[in-house]
Amino acid sequence: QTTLRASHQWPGGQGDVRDEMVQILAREVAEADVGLEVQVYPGASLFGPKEQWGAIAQGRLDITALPLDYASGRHPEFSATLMPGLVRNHERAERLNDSRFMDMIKDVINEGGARVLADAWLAGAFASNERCITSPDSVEGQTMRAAGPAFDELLAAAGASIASMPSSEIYSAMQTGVLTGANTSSGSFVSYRIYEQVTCLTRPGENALWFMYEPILISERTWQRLNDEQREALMDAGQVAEEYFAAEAAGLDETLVDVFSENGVEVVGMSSEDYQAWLELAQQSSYQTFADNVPNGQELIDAALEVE
Amino acid sequence: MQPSKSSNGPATATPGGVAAAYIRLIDRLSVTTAVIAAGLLISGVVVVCQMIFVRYILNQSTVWQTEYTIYSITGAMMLGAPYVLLTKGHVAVTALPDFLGGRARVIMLTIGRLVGLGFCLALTYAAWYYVYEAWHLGWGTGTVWNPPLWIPIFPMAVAATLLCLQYIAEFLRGAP
Amino acid sequence: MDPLTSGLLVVIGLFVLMAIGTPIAFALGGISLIALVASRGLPELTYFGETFYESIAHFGFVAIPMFIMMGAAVASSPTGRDLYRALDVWLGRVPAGLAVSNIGACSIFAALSGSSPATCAAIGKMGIPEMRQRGYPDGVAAGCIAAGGTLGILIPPSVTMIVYGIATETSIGRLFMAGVFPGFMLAGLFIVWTIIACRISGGYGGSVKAGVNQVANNVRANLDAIRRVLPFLAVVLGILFTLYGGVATPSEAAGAGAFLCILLAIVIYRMWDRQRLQLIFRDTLRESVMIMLIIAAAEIFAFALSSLFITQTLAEAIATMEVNRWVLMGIINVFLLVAGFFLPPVAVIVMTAPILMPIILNAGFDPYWFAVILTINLEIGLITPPVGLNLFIINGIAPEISLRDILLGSLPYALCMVLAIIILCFFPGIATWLPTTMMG
Ligand code: NA
Ligand code: NA
Repeated sequence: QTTLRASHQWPGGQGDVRDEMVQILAREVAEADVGLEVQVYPGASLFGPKEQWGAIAQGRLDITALPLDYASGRHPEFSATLMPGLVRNHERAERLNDSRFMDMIKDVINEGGARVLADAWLAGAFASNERCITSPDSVEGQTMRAAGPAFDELLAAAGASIASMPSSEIYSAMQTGVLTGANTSSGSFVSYRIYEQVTCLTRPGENALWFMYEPILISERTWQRLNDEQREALMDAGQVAEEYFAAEAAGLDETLVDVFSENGVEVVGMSSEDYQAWLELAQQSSYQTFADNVPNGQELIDAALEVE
Repeated sequence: MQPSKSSNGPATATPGGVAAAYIRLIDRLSVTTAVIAAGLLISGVVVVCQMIFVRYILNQSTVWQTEYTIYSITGAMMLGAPYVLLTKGHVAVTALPDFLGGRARVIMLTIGRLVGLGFCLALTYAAWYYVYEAWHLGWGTGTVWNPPLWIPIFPMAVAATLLCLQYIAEFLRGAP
Repeated sequence: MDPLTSGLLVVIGLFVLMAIGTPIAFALGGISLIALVASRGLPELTYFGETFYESIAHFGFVAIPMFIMMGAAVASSPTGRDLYRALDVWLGRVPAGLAVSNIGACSIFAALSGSSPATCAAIGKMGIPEMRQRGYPDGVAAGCIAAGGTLGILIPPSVTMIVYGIATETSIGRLFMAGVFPGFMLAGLFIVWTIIACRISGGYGGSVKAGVNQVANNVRANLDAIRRVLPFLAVVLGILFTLYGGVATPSEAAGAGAFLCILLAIVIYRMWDRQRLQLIFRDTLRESVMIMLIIAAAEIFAFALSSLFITQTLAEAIATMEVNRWVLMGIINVFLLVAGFFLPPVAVIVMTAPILMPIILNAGFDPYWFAVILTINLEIGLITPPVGLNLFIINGIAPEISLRDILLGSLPYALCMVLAIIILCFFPGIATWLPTTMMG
């Protein structure tokens, strides 16, 4: 009996979709009965959120589910997985999973010492208590908190001020006027009760700027220790977890819209023209920086944009 | 029970010759890193105030301040450690050795010091390995500012090394 | 090896290392590293650097040295003396007046500093010699300062509340608020016992006979003293205001507080000579490095316990116990009390919070109320052997007072704290009312 340790940063056993994904993986592997057990450490109870990638690469941790962008200090290519406008919507995210873009990202993951068991793209939204965020003009003069360097740069290019802070501080920052707008995942918007502080929500619908890749990874060193039967069981379990997530992902966005409108927040969507305007701005800001700093940066962006 | 007596500076007699010169050198190095640590601490306070000013008064972007403060304060805490060892400020429970007295006390405290030295040696190896990895592989911190990672973690490696050297100086000084 | 056996081995190993006089930080770090390498192999050693660095590289922890700096700036200025004089004039004529002033001064200084040993040292340096000179028994003199000093971590700002907030992801501003009334209540209990103790030991600290002239002078000196202390208190109130209003994060408030207090020390007390400023930074560095290294080591220890699945096994064992929630609270209190005897407060919090938090929430206790209970438990540990940080401080300030007198003098104050915990169990509102009212 081999025991694998799985770590993630989200609360355990409280219905968080990402926790549930890992729990499903653990259950499926146990049911396969191949002498393999997955022990889940939720809520960053083993490794800190930003230590997980290193631990996977070093073989100290077997399995993790994490925002891949957290490792972009070590592999700058990973910034592409939290790059404004590259994904657009859930249907396109699924097509992206089988594209050249993801092949390139997964090559970097493999070189870094890990392997993908399940893909997951999480959508996010914008919210503001000043005015609805749709076109690039609408953020001008607002103070925004954005998740990730690429978004910081894009918003700054659109004329917003950026304040860096963890998502747990968005609420009080909006309450006191330090922030007028924020940008984070659908789930965080609901769990931090941001609806109490904003007047307008830009829902992730057909045109969502904000998508983040949060795969389940297994350490390559662990993988090499397993037999074929165990590998197959893990891959199958990963598939089940991935399908579960795909079904739930859109539901997260629906919950977001429901909760915010129930609390009297205006909910708007981004039009195709708005979306194109953001993409053009990104070409001159975050895409440009990414292409300059990452060896195959331009190629990655082109590969993502060429997906139908 | 005898830690953190507010005695400052090394106690007890010092041996002569090479050992004395070594002790003087290491003591001076520990004081120097403590001064650097104090400088980092002050810079952290100043940068926090600057961040408050820029964010709340000027309403402008604050991109690097949070990160800088974390690195400067963490660096200061590491670099201050050898000085705290030098001035006997690390809390220890010496009730049992003190109660037993005599040879038992000397043996116990010596083993205790060896454990401390052992931990510091392990940390020295690990810290330098981390710095080497970060430097060799060109890791950044993965933020907008994205400074090279080896810079903020470098103080840890220096501090761990100096802790080992300071422990050796304490042995040379004798008197547990 | 099953988790509970390995857990037992780790704890025994820790005790042995601590008992032979290894500094606590290195004992914690050393035993954890041994356990990690033994159970998971050499990579745990090779990659230990990242684990160690990440254990304290956190924006929340930045507040700790800054609140300590704030206290050090106030402590090295003559604020303590001023406070003390002011209180003495008011209270000098009541029974046990001077000892009562000392506890009052400790409470006010606690509001200026995040640390208990610092509070104890700042007031004790003046208070103990003065009390002995006026004929107070050694036990009362040492005891009221040792106990009064523990208020440093209950009355905000508080280093341990910051650590608790980070470990449990609770609001630090709210935690600070929760400590305010329990802090004053505890100070009140200390005062009551001090008056009783002075009576018992023969009516020490009777009223000071003062001439009319002297009183007039005193009043003038008093007003002068208050004028000089007020700006510091204004800074503290400002900090609390920004924190509960959510205007600034604790680290921002701490940075501004440290900056302003140093500025005030320079302006009001004209401390611009290099030596005295150096003293502030040296004291800050010594204390904060000592605390942060213990936090780092305790984090490593917690990581080792989690890595060996000890934390999870223990938490599950406790969670499945079918006991009344107050029995559970009693058990937790005894556990914390014992842990506090041997370990400094920050270490206890880092090591036990991951185990205790889910249990507390499951049993329906308020996490902010529990933070206060936890803090008072750890305050007891500060004045009990073998690791009583405040006892060490008193011993350093007044080496001529025997250890026996210090211990016997402090013990009744520990009982006051137990009483405070019991009162809080019956009236949780004392802790929860202020944060609920102010922050909703
Ligand atoms: Na305090
Ligand atoms: Na104790």
